[in-house]
Amino acid sequence: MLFNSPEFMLFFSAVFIAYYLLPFRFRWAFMLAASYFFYMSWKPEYAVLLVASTFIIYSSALLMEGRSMRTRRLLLAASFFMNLGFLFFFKYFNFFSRNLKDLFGIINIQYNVPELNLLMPVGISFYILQALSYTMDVYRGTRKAERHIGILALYVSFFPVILSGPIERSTNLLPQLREEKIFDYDRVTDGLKLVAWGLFQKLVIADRLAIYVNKLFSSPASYEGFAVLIGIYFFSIQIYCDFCGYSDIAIGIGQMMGYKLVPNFKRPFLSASISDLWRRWHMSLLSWFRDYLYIPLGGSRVSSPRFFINTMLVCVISGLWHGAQWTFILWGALNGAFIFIGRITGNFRQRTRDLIFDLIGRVPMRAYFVSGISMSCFSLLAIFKLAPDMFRPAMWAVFAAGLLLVMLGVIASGKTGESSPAEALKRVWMTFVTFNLFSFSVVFFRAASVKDGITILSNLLTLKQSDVFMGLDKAEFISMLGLVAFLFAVNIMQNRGSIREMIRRKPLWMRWAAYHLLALGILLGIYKTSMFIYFQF
Amino acid sequence: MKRFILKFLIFIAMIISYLVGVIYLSPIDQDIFIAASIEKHKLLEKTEQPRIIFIGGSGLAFGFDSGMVRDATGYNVVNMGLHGGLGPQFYVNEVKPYLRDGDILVFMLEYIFYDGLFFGGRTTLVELSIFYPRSLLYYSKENIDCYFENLPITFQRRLRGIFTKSKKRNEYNYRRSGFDEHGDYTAHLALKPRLDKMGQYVPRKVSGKVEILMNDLSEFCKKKNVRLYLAFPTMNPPSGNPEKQFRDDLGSLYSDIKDKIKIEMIGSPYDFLYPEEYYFDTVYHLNAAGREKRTRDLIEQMKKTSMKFLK
Repeated sequence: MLFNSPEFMLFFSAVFIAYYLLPFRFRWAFMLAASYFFYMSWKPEYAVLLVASTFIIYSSALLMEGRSMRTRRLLLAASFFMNLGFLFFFKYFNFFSRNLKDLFGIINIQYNVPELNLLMPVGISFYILQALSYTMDVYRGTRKAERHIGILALYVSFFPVILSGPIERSTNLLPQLREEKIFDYDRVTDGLKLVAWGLFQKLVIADRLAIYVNKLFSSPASYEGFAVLIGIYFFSIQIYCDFCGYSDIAIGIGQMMGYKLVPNFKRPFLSASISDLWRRWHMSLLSWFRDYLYIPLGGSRVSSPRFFINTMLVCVISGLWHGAQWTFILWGALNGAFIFIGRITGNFRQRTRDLIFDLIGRVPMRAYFVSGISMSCFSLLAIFKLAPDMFRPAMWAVFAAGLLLVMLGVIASGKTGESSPAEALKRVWMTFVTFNLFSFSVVFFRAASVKDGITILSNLLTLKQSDVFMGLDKAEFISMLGLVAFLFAVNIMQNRGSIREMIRRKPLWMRWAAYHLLALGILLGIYKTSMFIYFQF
Repeated sequence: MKRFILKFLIFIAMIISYLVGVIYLSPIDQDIFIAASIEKHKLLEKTEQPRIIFIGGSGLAFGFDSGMVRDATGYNVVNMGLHGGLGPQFYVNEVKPYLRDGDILVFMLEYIFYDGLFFGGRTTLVELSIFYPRSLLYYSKENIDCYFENLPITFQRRLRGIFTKSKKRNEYNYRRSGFDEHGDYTAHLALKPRLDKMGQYVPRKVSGKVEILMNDLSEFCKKKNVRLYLAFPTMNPPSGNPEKQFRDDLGSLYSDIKDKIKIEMIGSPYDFLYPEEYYFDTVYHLNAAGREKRTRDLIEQMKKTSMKFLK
């Protein structure tokens, strides 16, 4: 049952109505039954793992209470060992076994461990971390052990989050499972709007961009130049909309039933640095690693070599958490390297930026207009096909830069300080660089192999140009660009405050018009009941 | 909660009305290929016995001469072949209510459908409901699933149709008016072929769904005293290395059909493998020469079955 499937809509409608009609004392049992039903609709056998994981964390936490530190540590280790054992067995066994075989092959040692032919249980990476956070919180004394096994089982299997998060903490979700939720019209409608926005991001933006992205990644050697760059950018946005869309649906349906789930994304593409981006991307996972791995290792208040080790360790483990492939490890390592380089070169880069943008700030307003218009006129060579083919993409870039300069001139007229053109341009530049670094790393996230990833990145650097439209209809391609622009516009607006709140303050007809447009927009999505990317993790 | 549910239902009703309005009420080209289903249903209703009804996809519509079969066998012929996008389940569903005691039914399923692909149909099924709302009555569960799955895409296409000028049609565009009085598509016969060889695919096994569909149809026909036959579609085998694989796959499929499907067969798949000069635009659609050869071959194979020719 996918969140974007008609079956889920029927399931949730029934659960939602029954939930509010039931007396409070029966709700936990009903939600537990609904969550198990939802999970078992994928593969009933894997519910055994859920039960086992719940039992392990339940018993280990109860046994920890009133025991010595040593015993608590032993129980914590046992809980981690067993839960991570499940994860290792289903997700990583074949990966490690294959690599050991290769390694032993090099030194001529026979390795005959057979591969396991198992289907990885959906959501295992998510609910195992959620379960472990409970054990850890009890161990640290952040919360008491839960005595009601039904409530704890619901915490582990809670259906809005079990498949792909957000990864909840026991300190946030567990207390809410014991509270009586009363139907609140505003909260419910607000949750529904979030669900609708999530569906829009998934069905309309992510799945449409996927058409272009799939062409590039299914045949990496066939595309060169600008088409590759667009494909890489589109994939960054696709994965964001896919996962953020999923998270919004999960948070929205939680909200409709009165639960406040943790946010998972905070407009990461408006970040001015990679470390900032990682504070806004998959926040529930990254905060898990921060609290239970990074900070215990010493965090960032350590020497540079130690900081390098800590950062790389967290990033590589985060990469490996996504999938048992070298591509994910490389993706994590690249991001770790970006964060480390960002830290050691931070002061130098800031001084250089300040110097350059201070100089730009001294340029008289008139110069923006003159240079901008000149650049745009120069690029007409491309528009009228007077330039050689290989220079045309560059000409279009000049055209865009020219327009940007003119716009900056308009924005900057009479403004100083934080909103001065130089500051605005500096912020745009930092955001642009961050987005590019992330996008290049994410190539390995999507590529079938490291070799494919390298092929894509090397084809990006060639001067040859393949068809930018990749054989797609021009209107389709333009609609993709339009959707990307729309997403960024929404993100910028969200930075100024909640759009749902803004709409709520408008007159009735405007509100309904906005909701109708959103609903009709969703109908313009791609309906092939495609999986959410993060389901595979 | 009542207020919420009421408002929500009103909202959903409005969205559904837009959806239905755009799909069913916006202007549409009446000469669209799929609309020929209306005439085909009239043929089913009016064609007198003794008669043979052929059901299948577009391969049957393009590559079959009903007149030749009528002349050879003495039976009136109805060619129900129209479009693969309707799916095998619908081919069967739409013909069942019209079958009469003594009819002969020939089922000619394209190979691609034997592995259960598009069993319940594709967007074409929704498009057909625009011209022929009665088609909704023939739906089974698979068709209903397909209908709802394809509503949004049909909505998108129809919406685009409202805002964009339709492309000028040329003689290569399939059209409703291209069918003759038996339900054979003939508008392509005078055109120069331009073959795209994509689709030379044969599954190795018969899917469970197809097996059940065909055997259920066989039972149904027995009860109605309708004689049912299975015919094989034409195919252009690939040349060079892939040919061996193709023939292996075809052999595997044929033996699986013989094992699983309890319907008398007209010839074998090997009787209808033709070189590319017999095809029109795809490996499913025959040109004039191919159509004639296929019909002649089919008549020859029909003579070898239990079917009694009246001439």
